[in-house]
Amino acid sequence: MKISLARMTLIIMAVCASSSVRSTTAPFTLTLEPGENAVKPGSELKVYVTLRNSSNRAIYMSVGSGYVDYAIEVHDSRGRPAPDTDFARKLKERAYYSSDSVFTLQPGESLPKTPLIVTKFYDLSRPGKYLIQTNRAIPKELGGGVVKSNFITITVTN
Amino acid sequence: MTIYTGQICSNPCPTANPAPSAPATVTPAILLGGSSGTDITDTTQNVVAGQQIVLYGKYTLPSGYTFSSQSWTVPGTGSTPPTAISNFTVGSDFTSGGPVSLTSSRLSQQTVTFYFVAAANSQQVTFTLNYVDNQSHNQTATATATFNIAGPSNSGVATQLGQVAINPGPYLQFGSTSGSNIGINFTASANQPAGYSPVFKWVNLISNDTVVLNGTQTTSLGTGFDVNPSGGYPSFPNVTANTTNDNPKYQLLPACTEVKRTFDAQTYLMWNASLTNPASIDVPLGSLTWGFSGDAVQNSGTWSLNGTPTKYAAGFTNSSSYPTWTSSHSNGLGPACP
Repeated sequence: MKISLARMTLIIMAVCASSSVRSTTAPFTLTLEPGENAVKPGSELKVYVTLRNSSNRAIYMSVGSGYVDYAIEVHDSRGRPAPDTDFARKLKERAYYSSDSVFTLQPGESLPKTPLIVTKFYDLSRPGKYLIQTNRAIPKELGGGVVKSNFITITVTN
Repeated sequence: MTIYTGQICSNPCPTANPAPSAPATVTPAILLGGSSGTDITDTTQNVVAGQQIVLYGKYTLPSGYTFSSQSWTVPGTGSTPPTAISNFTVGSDFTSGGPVSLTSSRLSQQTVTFYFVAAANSQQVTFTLNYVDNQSHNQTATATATFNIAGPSNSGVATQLGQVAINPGPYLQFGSTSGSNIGINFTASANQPAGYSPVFKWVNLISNDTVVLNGTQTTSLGTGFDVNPSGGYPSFPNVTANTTNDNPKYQLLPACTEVKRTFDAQTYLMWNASLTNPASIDVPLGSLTWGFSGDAVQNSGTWSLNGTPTKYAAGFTNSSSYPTWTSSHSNGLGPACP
């Protein structure tokens, strides 16, 4: 258990370091918040992401669906990726459609908080702690690349 | 006072029917806010469109009188579309929604809850009490109250249309997500009533959303209420206080060689006075229809538009007709390519 937590801490430190390097040039930041800190196996797990314009100019960002706007990464306490759901597998094979609204964000402004249903993509039926992070691609016109959020930890309890 | 007629007697006196007294006057009253509310009979009240109104018909029947029935008359209940309704509801899963009528059943209760949904003056509400007096005569007594309803006027929606394009992803999209090409931009306007902090809301009902894959497989992506992925209702978020936009997109996968999409919708502009006590509901100001179609073809991994895409937006029509739906349309996965 001590080894697992230590590994988790190392992962967090590594990614935080990585994110902080990116944030010096990235036009926006992502803040991830849990809907709840603990859930029962089989219940829906929702997290919320807030995109904030951290640049010094207005940027256009869209709100469509978390399915494609944001990529979610989920690992268990041993660093293993959580298994995909059927929906996640289908998402890789079938076309996605959505209605997107485009916002003009002035420096410091944020998009409306976006809910992401983690359990739509990952099977979290096994009890334990899970580390969750999301990322979003930077549009080409804003320089390209990816911005990653902070990590949050969710416990799936018996 | 009981009066007996006939012979003089001493105890025990013979029994006899008392002569009924003259009928008493029954005067009902209208209370605003329920049974403990304020008496507003014969007064004029200032309210706003969408404001919840709870009225209670108060009356006292003298001994020997019996209640027959009661009813409310609320102007606008029977008009087309109704300008007075019982409620506006949206199902918890967003698959249904619309106004709830002020039925005769609701109008025959001692307490009635309703909403005026359009601005108007001198709207007289009547409470009618039917009863039988102590002489077995059917009687009717009424009470009235008048309402002046404030609300937005000269409302409208201006639209700007963008282009159907192949965007990075790749997507077949009406507009883009970059801001340089907005599919459809809506701008609401209205003369607002003084003293409120109203908000506009946008409800989109999709009447047709069809994709044809590889020229053979036609699939409907669904119709009905356009569910906002960030909260369900309303369909579109407010980008600013009076604007919103939509940029419908469809992902283009390598397995397909052609994707043709046709999309038609009706967008309603809703208005809410933002009251909390009493609460206010969304009221419709009008709607407009819009849509697009586009045909994307793949050639050796590169997608391009086939032919000239179409797009349209009809003029905004003012109406107090509510959006009504029995199905919903959400973001999701399209069919596999044949």
